[in-house]
Amino acid sequence: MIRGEKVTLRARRPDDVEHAKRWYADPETARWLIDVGTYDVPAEPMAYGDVRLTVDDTETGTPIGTAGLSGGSPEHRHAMLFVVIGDGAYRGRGYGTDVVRTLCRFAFDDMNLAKVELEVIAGHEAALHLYEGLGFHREVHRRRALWIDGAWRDEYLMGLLAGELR
Amino acid sequence: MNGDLVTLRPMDPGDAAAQHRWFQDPDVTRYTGFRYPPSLTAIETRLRGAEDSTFANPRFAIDRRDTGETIGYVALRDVTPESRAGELDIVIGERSAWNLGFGTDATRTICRYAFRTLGLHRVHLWVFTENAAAIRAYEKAGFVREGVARDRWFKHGRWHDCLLMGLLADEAAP
Amino acid sequence: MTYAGDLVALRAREPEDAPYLHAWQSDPETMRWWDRVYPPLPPELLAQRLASAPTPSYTEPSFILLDRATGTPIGWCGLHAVSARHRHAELAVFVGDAAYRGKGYGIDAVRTLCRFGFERMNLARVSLTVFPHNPAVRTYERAGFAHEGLQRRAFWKRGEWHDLLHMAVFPDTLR
Repeated sequence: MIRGEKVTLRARRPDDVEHAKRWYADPETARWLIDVGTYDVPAEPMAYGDVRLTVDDTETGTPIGTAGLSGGSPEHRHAMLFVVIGDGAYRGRGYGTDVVRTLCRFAFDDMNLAKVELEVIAGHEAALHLYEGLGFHREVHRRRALWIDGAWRDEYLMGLLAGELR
Repeated sequence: MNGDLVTLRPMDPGDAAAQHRWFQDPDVTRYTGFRYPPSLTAIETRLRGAEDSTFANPRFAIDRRDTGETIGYVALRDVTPESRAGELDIVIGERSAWNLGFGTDATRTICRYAFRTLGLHRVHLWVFTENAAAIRAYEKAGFVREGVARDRWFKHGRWHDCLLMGLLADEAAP
Repeated sequence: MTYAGDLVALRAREPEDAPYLHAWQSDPETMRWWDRVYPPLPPELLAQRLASAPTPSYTEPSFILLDRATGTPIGWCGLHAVSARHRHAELAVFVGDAAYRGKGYGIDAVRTLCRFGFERMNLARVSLTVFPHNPAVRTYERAGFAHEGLQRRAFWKRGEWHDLLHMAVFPDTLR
C-alpha cells in the first residue's frame, strides 16, 4: 500500500465493488467520468503499466474512491494517472490533492517514471485547479473530443515531468 | 440512473431468481418475442458474466424508487457504433407494478441514457399490434409509429403483426 | 472491395503484403518519422501476423494503400483507438514506397482515410500525433488538420526525448 497524508492507496478487494457502484451512481461523480467501466479487482494490483487501487480515508478506513497509473510505458517512462473521489463527502477537502501528489511521488520516486500524464474534461474546474496547483501543464487541447451527458466536450491532456511536482 | 418513478441499475447475480420467476409467467411473456423458458442456471451464468452493460447491449435492472423493489429489466440490443441505433427490450416482470407508469418511465430513462451518454441517434422497438397498452405507453415516451410488419412473429400458434416504432435523438425530450 | 480516393485506394491487408511491409518499414526515411520503438518484424513473422490479422472492422480499420491506377501497394494506413461512444479515432498513414512521396499520394491517403472514418464509420473526429519536424505536418495542415498542442517528452527515440505534436480534423474541416 502507498500512504499519503490523509489517504491510503491499496489493492482493490471484492467488497470494494459495492462502494464503487454507489460512487458511479452518484450523478456528481459520473458527470466528470470519461468512461465508466466495471470496478474490476485485478489479480496483480500493482504492475508497471497497470496500477489500479482503492483509496481509503486513513483515519476511518472507509473506501472513498479509486486511483492509479495506467498504460505505463517502460520505453518512454510515462503513465496515465486517474483519480475518482467517489464519496461526495470527501470532495473539496484536500483528499484529491493528497491522492494525486502521493501517486505522483510514487510514480517518480518508485516507478522511476519521467512523466505523469492525465486526461481531464474541459469545464471540470475543480480538477483543473487541483492538477495545475500541483504543477501539471495543459499540453494538448482536444476539441469536441468527448460525448458526455448529451453534448460534445473538449478534453485536455496534461503532463507533469519529473522534477515539476510542487 | 434515476427516472421519476424508477431507478435503472446494473444487473447482478442476485437478480436471477426474480428474472427466472418472471419468465415462467405466461402473462409477463405474452407480448414478448420470448419462447423458451430459461433455466435458473442459465440466467445466473449470464448475470455472473463480466461486463453487464456494453455499448452494443446496455442492460439494466429496473427498481421502483418508492419501495426499492426490482420490477423488471430494460435493455438496448444490437447497437452498432456506425448507425447508432438500438432496439428497445423491456419487461416489467412484477404484475403488481403493471399500469402504474413504471414502464413508460423506464423507457424514457433508458432513452435519455442512449442519447445523452452513448450518443445514439435512434432507439426503435417492435410491439405486437394487439398490445394497445404498450403502444400507448411508448407513444407517451415519444415514440413514433413507423410501419407495420405483417405476420412478423409466430407465437401462440399463429402469426402476429408487429408495429415498428422509433425515436430519434432530436425528437427526444431532454 | 476497395475504397478509393483520387490517387490511392484502400484494401484489407493480406499475408502476401508482408515483403512490401518489411521493405517499407526498414526504409530509413520511414523509420525516422515512425513512432515505433522496436525494429520491424522479419517478413516470415509479419506474414504470420497478417494471416491471423482481423479483417477491417470498426475497432481495427487497417489497410494497405494502393496506387489506384496500377493496383500496386505503396504503403499502409489505418485508424486506431476507435471509440464508439465518443466517435473518434487516431490516424496513421505511411507512404512506404519512396517513389510515391512528394507527389500528392500522401495527402490523398490522409483525405481518403478520413473520409472512410467520417462517411463509413460515422466518426465525428480524427486525430493524429506526429513528430514536430516531420514534413508531413504540412500535409496534414493542407488536409484541414488543426494543431491542438505539443505533448512534452512524449517519445524516447535514439537516445533523446521528443515531443509529439497533436492534430485533429472534423467532418466539417476536412479539406
